[in-house]
Amino acid sequence: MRLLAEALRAAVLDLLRRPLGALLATAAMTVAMCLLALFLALGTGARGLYERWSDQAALELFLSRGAPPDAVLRLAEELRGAPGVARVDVIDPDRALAEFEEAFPDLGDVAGLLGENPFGGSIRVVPARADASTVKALAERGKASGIVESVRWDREWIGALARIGRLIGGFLGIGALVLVGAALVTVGAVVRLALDDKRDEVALLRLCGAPLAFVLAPVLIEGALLGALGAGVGLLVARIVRVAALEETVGTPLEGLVHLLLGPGVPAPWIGGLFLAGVLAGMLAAALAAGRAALR
Amino acid sequence: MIVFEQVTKRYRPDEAALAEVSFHVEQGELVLITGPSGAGKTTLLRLITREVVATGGRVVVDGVELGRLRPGRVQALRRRMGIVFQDFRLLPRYTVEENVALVLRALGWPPARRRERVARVLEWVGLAHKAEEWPPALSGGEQQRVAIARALAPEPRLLLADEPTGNLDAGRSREILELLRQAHARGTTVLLATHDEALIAAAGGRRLHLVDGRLVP
Repeated sequence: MRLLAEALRAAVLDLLRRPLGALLATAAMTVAMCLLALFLALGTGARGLYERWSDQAALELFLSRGAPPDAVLRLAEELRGAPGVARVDVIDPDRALAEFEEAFPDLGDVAGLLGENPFGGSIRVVPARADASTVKALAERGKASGIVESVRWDREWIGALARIGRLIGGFLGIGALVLVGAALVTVGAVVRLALDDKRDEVALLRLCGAPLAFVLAPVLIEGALLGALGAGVGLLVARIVRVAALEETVGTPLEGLVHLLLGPGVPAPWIGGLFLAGVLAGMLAAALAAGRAALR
Repeated sequence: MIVFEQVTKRYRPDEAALAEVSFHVEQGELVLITGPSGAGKTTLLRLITREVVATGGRVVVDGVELGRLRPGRVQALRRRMGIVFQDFRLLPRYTVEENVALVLRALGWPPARRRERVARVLEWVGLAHKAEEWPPALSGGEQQRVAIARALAPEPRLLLADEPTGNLDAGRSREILELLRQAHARGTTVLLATHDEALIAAAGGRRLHLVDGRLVP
């Protein structure tokens, strides 16, 4: 514990004794982490938007009149357990009528005019992904049950959604990979450069008989502090930029788009993960900076 | 204290930095390792600190045979030595006092004893009044005196000095030699590698002369 406290003190003192170097290193890491965080925020927004669209890619299985309720429930359960299904709702005739009246209020009391509810029951299936083959398979499964009269699904809409999904997924995946890599390499390179002159100190202390822990602990702590500083400030700046963008666009034509894309923000566990990755990259770079001198 | 038996060190297969070198150094001796640049003086010292391992022969330091020394025991051996370099190797971001104290801290000396010892060695090298200064603000001679204070602070049994006056003028060299002789007079074994003829003439002590990696009479 005493060793750790002394190492922490030595690391902080060392950073304070070369403020310009620490400041420049932090600035470089801030830019990298900020760009990464903003990209991930945009990605989260785009993904949310896609999920909202995907919700509308439901297929509706219209049930035959007189379909036995237990057979309907059995089919609904079967569909819930099918792969690629996000949600299954059983719509009884009353609910179908209520939804119709809500969607078309001008048509008034249809049931009253006809003397009976013209709608039959249905099962609404929301696929987990807008994927035409999955939706088609679900439709076939419904038809094969014998209690489904017809199936409605928008083949073009689902196809377009699938393409958009693939595009967003690919763009976000590759972009995130490149930016995560770039940010971590930046953190690592900057920390390594900032601590490069520690090599002489490490070599000297090793020649004097200093234990490895004594020599490495301050270097690793210094790397972790630099990494934490860069990642922390970068994430903070990204948050400030996001909030400012949301506030500044209120009442402008961009409001909808900006709120749609930046509104959700990066999930908290991701922020924690990015911060931790920054700290670890800093430590790893510090270990590389100390290099073979520590093991001599 | 130090035994070299038929020691050879090759960095490349076709060239021996040291070839079949044998000598003994007794505890408390002052020994000069002399010879021109590239004769193998630094390699000999690096074998003693076990920065490098002999290609052939046997090196024994303070009863420990270095060829058989496990890596985990190297640091314990080095704690018995103090080293002075030609280029001083002071850490520029530490004050004079901190440079000396750092080694004691690394060796686990308690703070009160550390402070007392640092004050005493700085007093001894005549730099107590510069304890708070930064190394780049000192002259070459002063920097080397700090380096000697740092090397001797842990009270080592063996002091290795590699061309300690190489970067200093004649006057400063005499000061450094005087400090090394004082350390020797207190019982420390001193190995001084140098090619400075004036220093060799003034130093006294036994002389081991190296030429092209071989000891010559």
